[in-house]
Amino acid sequence: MSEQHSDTSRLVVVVDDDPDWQEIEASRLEGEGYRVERFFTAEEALAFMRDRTPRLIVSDLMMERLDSGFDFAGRVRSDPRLARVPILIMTAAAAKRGFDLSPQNSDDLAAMGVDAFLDKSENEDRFLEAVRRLIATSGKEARP
Amino acid sequence: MSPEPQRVLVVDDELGMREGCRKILESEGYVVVTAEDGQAGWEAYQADRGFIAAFVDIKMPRMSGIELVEKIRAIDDDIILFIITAFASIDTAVDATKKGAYGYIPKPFTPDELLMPFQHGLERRRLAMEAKRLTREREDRLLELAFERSKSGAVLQCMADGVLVVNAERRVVMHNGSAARMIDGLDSLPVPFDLSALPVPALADLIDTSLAHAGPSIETRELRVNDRTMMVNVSTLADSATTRGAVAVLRDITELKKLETAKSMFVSMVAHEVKRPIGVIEGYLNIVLSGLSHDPNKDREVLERSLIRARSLRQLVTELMNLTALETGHFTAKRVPVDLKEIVDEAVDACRDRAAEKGVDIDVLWPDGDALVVMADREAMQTAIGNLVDNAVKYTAGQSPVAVEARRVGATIRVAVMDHGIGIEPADQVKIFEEFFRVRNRFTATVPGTGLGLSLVRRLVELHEGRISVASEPGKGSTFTVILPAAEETRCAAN
Repeated sequence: MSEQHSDTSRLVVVVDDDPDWQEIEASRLEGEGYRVERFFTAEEALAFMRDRTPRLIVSDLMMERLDSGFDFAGRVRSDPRLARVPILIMTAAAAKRGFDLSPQNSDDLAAMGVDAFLDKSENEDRFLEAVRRLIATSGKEARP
Repeated sequence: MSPEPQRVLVVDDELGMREGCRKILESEGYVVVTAEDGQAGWEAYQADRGFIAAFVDIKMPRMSGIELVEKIRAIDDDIILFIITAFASIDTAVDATKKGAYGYIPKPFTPDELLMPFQHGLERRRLAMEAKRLTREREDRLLELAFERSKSGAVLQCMADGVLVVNAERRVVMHNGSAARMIDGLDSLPVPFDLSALPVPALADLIDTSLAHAGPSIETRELRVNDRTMMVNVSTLADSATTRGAVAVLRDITELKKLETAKSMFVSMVAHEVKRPIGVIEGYLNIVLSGLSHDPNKDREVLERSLIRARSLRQLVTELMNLTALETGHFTAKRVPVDLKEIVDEAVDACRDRAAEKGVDIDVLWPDGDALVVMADREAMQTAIGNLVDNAVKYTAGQSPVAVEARRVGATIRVAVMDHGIGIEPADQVKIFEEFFRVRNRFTATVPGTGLGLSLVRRLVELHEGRISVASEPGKGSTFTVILPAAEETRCAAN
């Protein structure tokens, strides 16, 4: 294992099938001092996290499938080591193709195994605000 | 009475009788024709036919009076027939009336004894004819009415819309064939039946509610009936405050609803596909404006990426407009002889720069020297073939070459565009021709595309009575083949 593996305190995993969105989210996160690893698919991200635990996962909702993001979240949650990693789901359109997948409240989020849900059209501040909040909460939980 | 003198036939073998009758009748204004025996009487009758009455002697040579009465009556209902007899007996009188005579006049007779029964007979004839006329008139009216009724019945039966008629007692008193086809089990109910027995409770409820309203009303609702969507109109028949019944008209709008759904799906897909690049451009511009990168080179790269996404957005809008033009029939193909060799050359030239940048060679193959002329819209062909060559360059793996082969096969021209890219999974091979479908994986994520190109190509090819197909093996590459009908030989020569 490389020495980078040990330092995961600032590691954020970004999953999006659009390289431009990877770039945008990475730029925002790197500007905040996070180290970002980018992935095109959930599969690749899961492989990467086999021996690394990031502080946060930011994932697109619609990748290979309409709800790939939720599927990915479910698989992260089922891994005891990753179960506590907060997940932020990003979507280009909350109501796409007639199916509204956007959660209406915290119960919906919990049911989806997701910690936050954000529209991609939300500005940078809203995005970073969500990121900070998720990392702070998980930090408290991790070290009670 | 009438301006036209009425004619009377007198048949008797006695000249005295004939002339006596003539005198009496002529004095009353009738025109009299006489005949001296049954046969002559029959001939006189046939020659004229316009007689209102005939006086016939019984005993005559050649043809008896009874026989003559019988013959005339057989073809003439209206004429008044009198038997004149010297041998008056009840039997002959009865016999004569049975044969169709109105009455008999015993010889000898006074003018009054002739005229009285004659006048009665005429009156009866008039009444009989009037009754007949009225009957005929009534029959005509009935026929007309029956015809009208069958006409509206036929209209009702022929209607594509289902019709149900319900009376104020809430009984279904009539329905047409379309209604029976729309509502399962309706045909097995003997009309009239109670509204509550209607196999579609929601429809029964709607009609029931309408009937409960005082005065005329029209209710319109969408109802599911046997897995179809129906637009139901219930109008009540009412005069002033009493509701007499209701008519429900069912129109099957299932296909319309499907179209509506497809349309709104399309609109939301368009919205999504437009929103995506705009979101990216917005995100990138914010990165530059916020000075996040602290690196001018990085900013430049971000702006270049934004430009690419802006271009692909413009491409999307162009393709959308083309697609819409095709769909709404606003695109009119100007068919002229077009050499597909030229089209392929142009398409390859247009992609040359991008291919060179990627290090991809484009091989063009003309296996035979045949003319490759199709009757087509030049611009449409440029768009179709151009899209395929452009895709091949975009999707071919690394620097593996792209090949375009055009040849004549029988009465068709085939253009095949081959790449050595990632290929397409069998399940996706049909879907790639659908609007907005894009195979999403790590490789395609870096290839800009609108998801409209291939559906546009398919529509354009089909507009030219052509066909497009794909053969692909994942990991090896794809071959898209367009088959178009070749132009007639004579046209090729002219070209």
